Amino acid sequence: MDTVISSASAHETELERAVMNPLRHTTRWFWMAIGVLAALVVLLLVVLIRQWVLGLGVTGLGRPVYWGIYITNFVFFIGISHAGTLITAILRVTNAEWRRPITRVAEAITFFALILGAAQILLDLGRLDRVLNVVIFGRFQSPLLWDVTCITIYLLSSTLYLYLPMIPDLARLRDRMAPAAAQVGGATRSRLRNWRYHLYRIMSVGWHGSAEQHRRLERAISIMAVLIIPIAVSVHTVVSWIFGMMMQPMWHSTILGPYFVVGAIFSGIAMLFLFMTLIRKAWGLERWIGAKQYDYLGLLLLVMSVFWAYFTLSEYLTTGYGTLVHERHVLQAKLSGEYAPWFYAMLFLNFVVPFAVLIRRKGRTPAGTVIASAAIAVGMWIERFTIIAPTLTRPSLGYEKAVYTPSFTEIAITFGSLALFAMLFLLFFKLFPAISIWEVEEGEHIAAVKRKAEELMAQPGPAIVATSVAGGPAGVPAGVPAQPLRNME
Amino acid sequence: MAHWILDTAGIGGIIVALVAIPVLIAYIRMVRWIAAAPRDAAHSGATRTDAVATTTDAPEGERA
Repeated sequence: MDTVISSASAHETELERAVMNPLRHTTRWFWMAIGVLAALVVLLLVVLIRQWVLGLGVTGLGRPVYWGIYITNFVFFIGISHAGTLITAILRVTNAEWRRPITRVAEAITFFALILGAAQILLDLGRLDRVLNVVIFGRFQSPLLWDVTCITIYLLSSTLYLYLPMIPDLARLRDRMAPAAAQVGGATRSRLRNWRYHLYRIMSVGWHGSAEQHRRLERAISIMAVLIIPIAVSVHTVVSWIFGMMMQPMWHSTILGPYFVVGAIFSGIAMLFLFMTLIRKAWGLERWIGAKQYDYLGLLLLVMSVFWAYFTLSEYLTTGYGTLVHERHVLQAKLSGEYAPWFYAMLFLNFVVPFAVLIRRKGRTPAGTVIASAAIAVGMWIERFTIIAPTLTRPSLGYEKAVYTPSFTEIAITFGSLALFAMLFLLFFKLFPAISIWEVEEGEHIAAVKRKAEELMAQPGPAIVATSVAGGPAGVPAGVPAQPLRNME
Repeated sequence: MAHWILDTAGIGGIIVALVAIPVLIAYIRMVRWIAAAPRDAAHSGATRTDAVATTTDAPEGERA
């Protein structure tokens, strides 16, 4: 690495050391992982160029199956984008303290998943020179335009929601790097070379950490947390409406909106577990991402699995009782036709495996949650596929029954997209702290004050605790800093 | 009127822009509002990048 973040100083806390060390040192394993992922990304680029040159004929798409794996990937990526923003926003709003070490990872998943999700639409269009037609000739009666609107707002909001809590940490990195740049022989020139210092300096927008600046930051984060919940819900509801507004068998359903939202949160939490565990292990953050996060989030995953099963049952039971001709054909394809293996695999991976693993507390460990989450990640991709392919192979517009077999191009682009997602995620956390240092410190401080207050409350003697907990400098118990606490309420 | 808005080619794109651009401007202003916050009188000229003050804080002169 050409860039040096100043080595651990005496004032550096254990948390800072743990979080910043991966930014300073790169292991062989990291580069090996990046190498493997980069190879898959190169494959993605090669098949992508080939598709652009030769057209969508190199895919298995065609009439009437005009959506296939690309739209499956789109719904899947938009779904997992709910990992961060929605989940962490809910946890912030409800003031769940255990969220602090995992918010950054979750928000990064959202950011990259949204970008990859939107890219799948471009792949499905086939001809990129026609992308602007969506805007130039777009009519607002089309749910596709609603989707463009919602995803644009969601991407802007998620970017800000990822960025805001990073500002104090970026300033900390800026300050750690500045002395090192000066030491490496010759102030200005070395600083010019030090692109990471400049990156942190620009991105930290002159953060100086005054009480007023902290107050403004926390206010902005609170506003965004509240705003982002309806935006996130709207995104996946509108994604479902792209299907639901069409008179296609098993798509034209009022339950599709909430069904998609539940599925999105479900797959989002699963993806959060996978990447959280990867970062925890690779970056050595076991002390901060620990049993509490796995237990509580595992419980949430279990609840979402049950919700998902409930919505699936509602959807299929209603369709089965309706026995509308076109819907019956699609249902039969899923229950006993060529899509049956996919359908039962989906049920097994999305409900049986997570329920069996997560129902007991002993299962809500890193190993248990990773097994359940890997099953869910695959299961939810299959769920998206079984929503799209069976319906389009049996459309209601008088087409003959069709067969859809994804081509090598589509499969390669799918794996390449997943690799690109993982690669961007790893590179992002090579540049930026994987844990929000200031938020975790704040949480530790709040916990320390509460502990001290409880100890003093338990002791007989003059009551000096109340004002200190509220943040006033008077009456601060011994051993607890006198700095007024922000965000204590 | 409502039908015209919904059915005219190009209006969709304009609506997307009318929603997205003010949101983008609002978010940029939010960041600038945070950046423009005044410094603490007691710490003028110094940077505090930690969440809360701690008893092991470095002396001001050692911070960049």
